[in-house]
Amino acid sequence: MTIKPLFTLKQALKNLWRNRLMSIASISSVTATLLILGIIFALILNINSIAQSAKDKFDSIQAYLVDELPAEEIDSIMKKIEAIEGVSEVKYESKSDALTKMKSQWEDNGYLLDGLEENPLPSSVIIYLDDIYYAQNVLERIQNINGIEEVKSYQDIVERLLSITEAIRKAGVVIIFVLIAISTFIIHNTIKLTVNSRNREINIMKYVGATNWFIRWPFLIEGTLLGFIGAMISTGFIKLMYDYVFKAIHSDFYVFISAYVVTPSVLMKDVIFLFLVIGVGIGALGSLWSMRKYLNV
Amino acid sequence: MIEFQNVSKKYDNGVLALDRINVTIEKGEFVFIVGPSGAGKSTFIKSILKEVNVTSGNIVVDDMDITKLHRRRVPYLRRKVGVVFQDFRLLPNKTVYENIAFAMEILGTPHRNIRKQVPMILALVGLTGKGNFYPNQLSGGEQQRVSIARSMINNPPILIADEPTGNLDPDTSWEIMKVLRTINRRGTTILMATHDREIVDIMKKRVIALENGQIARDEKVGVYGYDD
Repeated sequence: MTIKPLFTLKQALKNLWRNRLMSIASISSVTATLLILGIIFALILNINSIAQSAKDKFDSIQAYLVDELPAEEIDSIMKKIEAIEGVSEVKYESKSDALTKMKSQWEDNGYLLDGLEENPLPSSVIIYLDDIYYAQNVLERIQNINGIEEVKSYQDIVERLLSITEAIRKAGVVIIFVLIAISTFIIHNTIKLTVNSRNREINIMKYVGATNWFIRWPFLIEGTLLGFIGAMISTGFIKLMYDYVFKAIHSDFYVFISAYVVTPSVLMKDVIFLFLVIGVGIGALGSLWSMRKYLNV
Repeated sequence: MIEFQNVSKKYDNGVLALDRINVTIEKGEFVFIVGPSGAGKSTFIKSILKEVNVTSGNIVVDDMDITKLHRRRVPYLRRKVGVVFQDFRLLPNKTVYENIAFAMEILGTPHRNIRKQVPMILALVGLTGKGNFYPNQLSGGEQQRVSIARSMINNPPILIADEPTGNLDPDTSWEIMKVLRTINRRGTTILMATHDREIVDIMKKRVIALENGQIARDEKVGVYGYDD
């Protein structure tokens, strides 16, 4: 079977132009679907990234010790904590360690701390967990140990972040599926117009013994092209929008979260791939669907 | 070449279009299928093309049992059976040449061969030099010849003609019959459904008459035998 790709492509473009109103409708629906998908995708990606870094940072518990505890006592506290299920590592942080750490965090303003006559920071034990799942249990056990003054954990924040991510992801999937179905339906209708106008030709082709794929091929190209164009347009839109948002977040005011925001180049790499696959998929599906009736003779 | 073995076809609406048909058509035969409207002629023809799936019995075409032929293999069956219709079914926006070449392109014939064979088939049906005309520039008879040329271009062993003269005046009809006879003499088996008494009576070929889905007559040299 000789399939002339260039000729078929030209033919497909001609047909799309002939039914341009429906073509525009199809392309817009694919574009809209992918735009919404892109926005949800960008949201999920960023929340994931924030949640991940939060998790990495906060999967430890800091237990502040009562001041001036003798070394043996600290030792025994650490042993007790190590014995708790889910604890992977226990580290001692002395008063001076804490001060050094604070100085480095304050960066240029660190000199302010030099004026302190006495180190006000407590010594502490940092407890690393195997998994955030153990946090609640470990917390309860630590609080009962003598010599521990206060326990600080970020469990709540991490859990809330994770539940938000999950909710967005679930809602996103539902919305996306509905939109994909709608776009497929619109493309199906567009291609049906060309199929209808070439009904006679298809009929003759069948009598002369053309295989179904031979007949389907040009229509498949048409539908795929619609999806492809939609994917390209929406990729462009997402790029413009995300660049804008990214720049806005990077203005001084939001600096503290900007470190967690996914950069446009990372996002676009995924988006281009995702959009092409889904756009072309919607197009192909829509056109195959519109051919079904005509090929069952 | 074509064999019906106890073939019945009952449509979903309860109509029994073919009722235990047994018939054998040999290679190179010219057969008329006659009978009143609704006698099962169309179903008979369509079942050979597998446009209609029979309810029971077997149909053998060119040594192949097509009864259980997979849907995807049907195109290959149709390449063995050329079809000509009463309404010509030409593509109006393609020239005569393109209409015929189209049937070859579908099979992936190289352009070199197409350019060589289309003029040959045009000569066979008596349309030499009309390759660049569009269907609406031709008379009905000429259009039917184009459609015969298209159905024969890939050299199928069987040609089915469904009332090919139904839309034509008697003189033109005879020209078409001459073309079909020529094709038949070259060895193609021809099955022609018709209502044209004069043609059937004068051609003196085998006649199969269908009535109520059954074979009412099957004569080696038959006549039309109905009063219309």
